[in-house]
Amino acid sequence: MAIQSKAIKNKSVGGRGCMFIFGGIFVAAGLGVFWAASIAPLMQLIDARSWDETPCVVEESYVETHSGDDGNTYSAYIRYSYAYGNGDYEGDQYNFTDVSTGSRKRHQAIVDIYSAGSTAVCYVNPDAPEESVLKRNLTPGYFFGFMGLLFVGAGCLVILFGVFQGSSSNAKSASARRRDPIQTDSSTGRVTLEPESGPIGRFIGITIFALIWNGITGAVCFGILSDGGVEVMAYIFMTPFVLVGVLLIGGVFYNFLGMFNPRVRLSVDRGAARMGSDIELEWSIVGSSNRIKSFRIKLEGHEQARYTRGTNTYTDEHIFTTIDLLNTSERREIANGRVTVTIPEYTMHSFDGGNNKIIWEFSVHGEINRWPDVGNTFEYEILPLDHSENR
Amino acid sequence: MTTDTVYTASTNPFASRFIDTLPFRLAGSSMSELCTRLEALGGHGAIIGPHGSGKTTLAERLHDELETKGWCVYSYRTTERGRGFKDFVSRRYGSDDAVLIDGAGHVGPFLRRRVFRALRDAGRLVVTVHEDSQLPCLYRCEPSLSLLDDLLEDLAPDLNETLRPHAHRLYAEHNGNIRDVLRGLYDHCAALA
Amino acid sequence: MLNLKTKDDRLEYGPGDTIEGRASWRLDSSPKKAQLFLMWFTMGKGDEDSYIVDECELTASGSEEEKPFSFKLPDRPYSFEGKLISLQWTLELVTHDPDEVYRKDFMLSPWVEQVVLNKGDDDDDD
Repeated sequence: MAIQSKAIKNKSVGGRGCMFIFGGIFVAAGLGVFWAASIAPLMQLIDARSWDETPCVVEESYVETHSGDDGNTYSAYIRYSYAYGNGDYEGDQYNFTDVSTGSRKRHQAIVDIYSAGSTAVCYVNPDAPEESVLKRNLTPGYFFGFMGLLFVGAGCLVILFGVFQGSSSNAKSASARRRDPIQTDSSTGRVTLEPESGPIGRFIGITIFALIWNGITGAVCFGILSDGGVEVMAYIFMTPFVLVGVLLIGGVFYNFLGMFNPRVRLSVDRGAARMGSDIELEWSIVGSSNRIKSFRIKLEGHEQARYTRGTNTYTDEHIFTTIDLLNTSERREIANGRVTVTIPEYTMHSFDGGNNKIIWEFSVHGEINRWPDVGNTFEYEILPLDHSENR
Repeated sequence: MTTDTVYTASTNPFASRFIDTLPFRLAGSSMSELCTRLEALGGHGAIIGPHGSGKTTLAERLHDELETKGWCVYSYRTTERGRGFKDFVSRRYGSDDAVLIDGAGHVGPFLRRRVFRALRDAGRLVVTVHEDSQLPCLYRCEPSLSLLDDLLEDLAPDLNETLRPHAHRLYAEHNGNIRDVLRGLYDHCAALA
Repeated sequence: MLNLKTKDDRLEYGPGDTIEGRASWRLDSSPKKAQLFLMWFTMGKGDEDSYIVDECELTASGSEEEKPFSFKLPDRPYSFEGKLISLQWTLELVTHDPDEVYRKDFMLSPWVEQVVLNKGDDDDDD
């Protein structure tokens, strides 16, 4: 079996704090975009529904060019005059959400409609006649700001992840400080084993990434599509990003479905066992066991070696023993059962030196057709032989 | 490499105990001369180099050399977190103190300001970074195939000829990261067991 | 020069056994302090772990001396040899001023040999 190496990138000092700050920035930025690009303009649009329709004359209209680092953007500038009440006024607001984009053609079309000297209709605020607008219809541009909600969602998940990670790592640090390098003696009584990891963490992780990726990709695509008549190269360029985004969405659903998988519950007749002894392992499926087509339980011994160089920490793992305990497709056997496990006598007991460990685990795997598989590992303590009986 | 050789953890020539004790090969210089250069730079300098080029190893050797010269040396690695860092920056350093920070480039700008404020009175300050920084360059770690060959000769003189082609392949795969090459050679030897 | 000699030159012990013998030194001057440590340490791919299980201070009154020692061994961890990790037990004699160190490795195992971790199907690839 290949030695598996997992690089655990060092988290800089205050990692949890950075997650809160990072998540907070995303939430703030997302809310800011949502407000500025959608909510505020929509509120103005609703208000403008009650404004008075008023004839106006276009005094000046042209396409404005805005120079930027990534190229020029364009917007339509239209200045018009109108009379309202006893006064004469001027306005230059086309609608409440129009922004400069990369498509000159789109804005030229608007300028062509509102050519200088032509007459048009504007809508005037009766309470403040100096406020007016040419267009007050709902367009897709008003929903651009909803992209910001993706960043809000991502930011919230990052913050939640930081909270979750902080509490679990604190618990681990505390237990590491309390624990000696040697494991404790065996206990009596049936023990339900705890799984090593859950599907919730995987779901949160991929969801965060998918939200950020699709938020950015969506914003760019929206900008391209709202311009209309854009070069083919822009679509070709964005295609791989969109495809990745679609795959990520698929991954989110896959992991979401995984959260509703049947759960495997393992229990043993004692919390730890000596080498060479027999233990009784019981399993049961919580949820719909009928969905599991094949089911396998193994007992594995792992060498785990951790090393730090520079600012990275790596953990390498090697399985030195695999004992097959169950491999079945029988429905009744899958749903629940019991097996006697003989712990090898000539082997190494559980050991934790800090950087180097010998870990024993029960590994379960259940195949489900067209659905994420059920899988998890359960650590189990193997004690040394009862030395008074040997040598 | 002989086919009947069994390389377990204690016999593997690339085990950490052998790699950790490799002498650092200073190009055309000695540790004592490096300390002299550090003094010429005003006591502050940076060890610069890409991943796996030996910056941490050199920092550790420099730690020992400065201690030999009578400095009170404090070393901090950015893999440490939380309490260790708070203690590190809250301590008062004096002109007799030498401070080494391994992985300074990974400390964010806000924390870096706290760090340098705390260290401004230290007699000696050396950091390891991947790129040129505000501190003058004390030493530039540059990996090379000839360096890798020298290390192979030190670690596994009997296997040098057999392992060299594989080592060079790993060097190309890992873009000159010698640390990862040595780890890859460990795996290569262990797989023969 | 330091030396450690176990009783009957024995280097294989079982859990719970007593390891005993004599520690000696022949130095230019009497050391300020002499200590004997019973410890284990790991070797392999990971950063090394070590743990001092027991220790004793040997009264140093001359430049050439021989002192008896005796430690009761715990029941774990066993000496073992794996692909990534091996664990070794040792007695370490340390003198201070002059500073010298001497190690005597031994095996702690319920069998006549140390555990060798092995998987039935070894791979050829890294």
